[in-house]
Amino acid sequence: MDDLLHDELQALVHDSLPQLVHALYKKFEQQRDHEVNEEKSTRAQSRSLETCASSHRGFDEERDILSLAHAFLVEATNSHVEQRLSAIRARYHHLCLIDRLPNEVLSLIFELATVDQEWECVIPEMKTPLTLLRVSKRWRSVAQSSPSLWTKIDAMCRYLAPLFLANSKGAPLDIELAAGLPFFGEKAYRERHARVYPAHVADIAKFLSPFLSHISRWRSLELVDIPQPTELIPLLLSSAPRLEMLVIQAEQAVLATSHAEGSSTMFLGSTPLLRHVNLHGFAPPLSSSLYTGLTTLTLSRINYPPHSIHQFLHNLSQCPLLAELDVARLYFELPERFEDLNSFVPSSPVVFQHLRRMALHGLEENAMRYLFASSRFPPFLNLTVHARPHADGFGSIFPPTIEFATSLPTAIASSLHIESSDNNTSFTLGGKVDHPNGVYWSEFVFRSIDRVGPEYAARLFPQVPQQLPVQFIEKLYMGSNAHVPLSAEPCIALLSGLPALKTLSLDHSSPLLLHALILTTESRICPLLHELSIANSEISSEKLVSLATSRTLFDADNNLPPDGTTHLRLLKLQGILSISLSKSDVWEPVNQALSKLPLVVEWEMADWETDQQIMEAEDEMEREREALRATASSGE
Amino acid sequence: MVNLVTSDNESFTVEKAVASRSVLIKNMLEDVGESDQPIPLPNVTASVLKKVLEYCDHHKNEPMPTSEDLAAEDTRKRTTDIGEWDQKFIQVDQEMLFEIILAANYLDIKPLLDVGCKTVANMIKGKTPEEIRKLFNIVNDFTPEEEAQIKKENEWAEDR
Repeated sequence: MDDLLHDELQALVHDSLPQLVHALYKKFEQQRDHEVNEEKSTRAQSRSLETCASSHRGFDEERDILSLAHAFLVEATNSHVEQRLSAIRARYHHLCLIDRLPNEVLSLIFELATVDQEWECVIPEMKTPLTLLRVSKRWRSVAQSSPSLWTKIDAMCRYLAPLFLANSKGAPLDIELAAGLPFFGEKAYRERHARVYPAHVADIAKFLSPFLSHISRWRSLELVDIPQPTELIPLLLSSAPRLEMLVIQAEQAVLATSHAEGSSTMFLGSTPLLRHVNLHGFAPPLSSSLYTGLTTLTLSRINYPPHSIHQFLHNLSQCPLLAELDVARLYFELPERFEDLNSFVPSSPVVFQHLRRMALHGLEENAMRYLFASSRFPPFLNLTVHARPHADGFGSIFPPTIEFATSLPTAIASSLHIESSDNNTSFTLGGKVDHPNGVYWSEFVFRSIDRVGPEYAARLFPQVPQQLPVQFIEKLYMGSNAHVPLSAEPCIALLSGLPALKTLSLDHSSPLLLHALILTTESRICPLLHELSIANSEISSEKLVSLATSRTLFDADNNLPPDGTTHLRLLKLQGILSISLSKSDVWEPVNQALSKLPLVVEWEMADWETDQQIMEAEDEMEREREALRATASSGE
Repeated sequence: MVNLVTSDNESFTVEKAVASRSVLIKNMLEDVGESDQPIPLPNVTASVLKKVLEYCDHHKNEPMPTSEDLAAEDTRKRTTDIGEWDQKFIQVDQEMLFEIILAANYLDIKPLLDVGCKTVANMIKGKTPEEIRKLFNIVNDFTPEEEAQIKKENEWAEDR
C-alpha cells in the first residue's frame, strides 16, 4: 500500500470513529432511558433527594458504556475484518494452484526439494526445510509433518537440533560434521562456517550431546577432521540398530594406534545394519564388530598391533559382500622376510566374490604380499596399488608364487598404459582387461624419492614382463610428460618382453627407442606390430623411412625371415620435431617416400606445431607490414 | 483397446498397454476382466487426460515400478534429475502442471507424479519464502504473532 492511501485511510478512521462511538453511545442511552423511564414512574417521590448522587452515577455509567462500546467495537471490527480477509484469501487461494494438491503430494514435493541441495554450502535459513516453514500456515504444517525433511543435521543446523529432532519424529538421522567447502557457497555461508565449524570439532562431545539419546535412530554419522577422535568412544555406548554408515576422520597428521582389545565397545558392539565404514586416524580394535558385514571399507593412517594382519584379513572375510576396499598407510610391523609370514597365510584363501574396487596405498611390502597370497579376487575388480616410495618393483607387491589366473585375473591385461611424470620419477602402469561385462583395470604407481628417475625406470620396466602376466598384452601406450624422454634401454627391455604386441603408441620417446624398432636380423622386437603411433618425438627422415620400410617390405636383401613377422599397416605421426608439418620442404619428401610403402600413413599437427605456425604467420605479416611501411616512406 | 471417459464427458480409446500405466485403471481392468464398458474418470478433464496419455504412450514399453522398487526407494538417493523427453513434456503452464500432478496422483502413475513433483521441487529450490509465495500465488496467512514467532526462530539461528 502506498503512503498516500495509508494516510487517507488513517484520516478516514480518525474522522469516522468518534462519530461512530458517539452514535452508538446515543443509541444505547436512548434505549436505556426508555427502560429507566418506566421504572421512574413507580418511584417519583424519592427522586429529588437523590439528584446529586445520580449525577455521579451518570458519569460512571457513561464511562462504563463507552468502555463497553470500545471493547465491542474492537471485537466486532476484528471479527468483521477477519471475515473479509478470509474471503479475500479464499479468492486468492483459488488462484493458488499448488494449494489444490493434497498434503501427501505437497510433502513429496518438499522431500524432492530437499534432496541434492548443496546442503553444506547454504546457511540454515536458506536450507529448504526452514524456508518451507515460513511460506504459509499450510506449508509450515506439511513441512513439520514430513519427517524426512528433518533428518540431516550438519554443523550449522546443530543449533536447531531441538527443531530437527522434534520434526524428524522417529525417522533415522544423518549427522554430519564435515569441514565443508570453505571456498564455495555464499559469503554469508563461508563466514558462518568459519565461525561455527571450528567450535564444533573442538568440542565434539558438546556437538553430539543433543543426539546421544537418539543413537538408536542414527542412520549415518560423519565426523571429519576431528582433533581427538578417541574422545568419541565413551560417548558411543548405546547400540545403533539403524546405523548404516560410519565416517570418523581425524585431522590429517594423526596416526592412530589400534589396540588388540578395547576398554569399551563402541555402540555396544551392535550395529547390525552397518555397511559403510571410513576411518582415518581412528582405530577401534580389530576385534570390534564394526568391521563385519560391510560393503565398503576405507581405512587410513592406522598402526595395528604387530602381526595382527591375519586378524585384519579375518575381518575382511567377515564381509562376504564387500564391494569396495580402500586402505592407505596401515602399519602392521611385519617381519622383514616374507617367509616368516607364511605361517599366517590361511590354508584356504579368502575369496572376495563381490569386490569391485580395491585401492592399496603405501602399505608395507609384506602386507601387500600377504594380502595377495591369501586372497582370491574376482575378474571384474578395478585395482589401484600405490607402492611405497622407491619400492623395488612388482616383487614388493606380489608374493613370489602368485597365480594371477586364479588369484588376480584382473591383472591379466590386454592393453597396458605406462606414463611417467614428475620428471620421470613417478611411473604409472595401468593394465586394462576387456571383459564381456565391461572394461576392468589394474593400476600400479611407483614413485622414486631420490630423483633418479631413469635408474628407477631401468629397474622397473624390465620387471613388467618378468613379474606381470603380459602374454596377452596387444596394446601399449608409453608416454612421458617430462621434457627429457625416458632412456631407451628400459623401454627396449620392456618391449622385448611383450611378444604379442600389435599396437604401440609412443609419446615423448627417445630417438634410440625409435631406432630400435627398425627390424634387422639382430633386432626383431614387437614382430606382430600392426599399428605404430609416434608423437612429440624426434627421429630423422632417413630413420623414419627405414623404420617404416623394415616393417613393410621384407625381402632377401634385408635377410629378414617373414615367418611370424607381421607387416605394419598403420603409421600415425604427430609432432615429429625435425619433420614438422609446418615445414613442407622437409615433410613432403618424407611423406612421398612413405607413401610408396604398403601402409597407411596419418600425419597430424601437434599443438606446438600449430603455435609455431601461428607465430610464423604473425612474423610473416609483420615483415609484410614493415615492407609496406618502407615502400610508403620511400614514396614520400 | 480401452475406453476412458473424462469428467467433461469426452471419450478416449487407447491401447491397454498405455492405459495400464495407471495402476488405478490397471486394477479396474483386472477387476472387471474383458469388457467393452467405458471406464469413467470423474476427476480428470479431457485436456489433462490427453496430456497424461501422451506420457503413458511414450513410456508404455518401460517396466512398471514394482512395489518392492517403491518400498526400497531411499529418499537420500533420490535426485531431481528429469529425463530429456520428460523435461520437454512437462514444460506447461502452472495450471496444467498441477492438473497433471493431481491426475497422476489420482490415476496412480508414480513415474509421472515424480516428474511433476520434481519439476515443482526444482522451482522451489534456492528461493526465499517471499519468492515462493510470489511464484505460486500463496497468501502469507501468518498472524502477526506467528510472524513474530517465526522471526524469533530465525534470529535464534542467525545469532550462531
